[in-house]
Amino acid sequence: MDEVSNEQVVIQLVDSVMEVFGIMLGLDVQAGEAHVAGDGPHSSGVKGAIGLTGDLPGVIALNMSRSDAATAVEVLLGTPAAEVANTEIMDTVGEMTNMIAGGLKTRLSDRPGVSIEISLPTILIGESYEFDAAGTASSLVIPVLGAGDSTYVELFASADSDRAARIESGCQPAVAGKEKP
Amino acid sequence: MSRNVLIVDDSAVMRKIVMRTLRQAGVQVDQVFEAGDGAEALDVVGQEDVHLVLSDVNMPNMDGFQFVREARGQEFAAPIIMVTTEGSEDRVRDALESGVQGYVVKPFTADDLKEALAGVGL
Repeated sequence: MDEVSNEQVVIQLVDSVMEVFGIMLGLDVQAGEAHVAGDGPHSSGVKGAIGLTGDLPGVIALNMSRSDAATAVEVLLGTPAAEVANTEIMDTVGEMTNMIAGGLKTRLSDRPGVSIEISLPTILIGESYEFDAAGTASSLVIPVLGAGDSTYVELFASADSDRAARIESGCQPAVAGKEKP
Repeated sequence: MSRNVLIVDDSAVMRKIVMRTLRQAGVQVDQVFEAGDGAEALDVVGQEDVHLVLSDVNMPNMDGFQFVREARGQEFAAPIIMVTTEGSEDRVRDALESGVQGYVVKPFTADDLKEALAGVGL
């Protein structure tokens, strides 16, 4: 297999995120500084997570506040954000996560010998929860600027892959340097 | 000319988005049928007069490829366009070989959908 570096994964992931937010919501988002997730506070809001198998084993997650996700539903369906139900919010975040993961898969799978499969999305919503992506060792957090205060994507690397060690040993923030001039 | 359209996707929000984009693309729709997976879609094409299908690929119970194979096996002949997140060359080739006429990658615009519809003569 043609080894895919962390930098390549992050660049393609950011590209996919920008495309999804741009086409679906009309937002010109940019990537913030990527960093390794610490032992911070519990998550809150809405999280869509999709499992990856094959040459990029792990999990991709999209996190948004409930209010930003409700605004996304308003843009997509025309339902006023204040009237949006949790089912629509979860469905929307799940589908956006699906598009981001699918976009990453498409971008990486066109490389010779690279094969990636993605699962159906799992969605969480709540005030305070802990997310444990079983079998993963570390995660890289990439803030999505221009889509609300707490919107970010996370890439969890499988504990069995070298990628987890490479993330923990210092995937430099510059890898997400896809900001526009 | 109006058409009966079947939209197949496990996401209710995505089914609404597809419908909305179809209208933006200028497609005159008479009746809309919805299905949440391939098995439900098979029931619809077996019972209703469907002129166009827009189907997701990754769905629980029965995925889009299996739905297409089984629908074609039942001599369902109307155009089927895949609307999916996965756009690799292999995926598109597999879809076309399974009996679909068009392929649209999510996220998509009205122009993307219009182009796929033009490809099937609509």
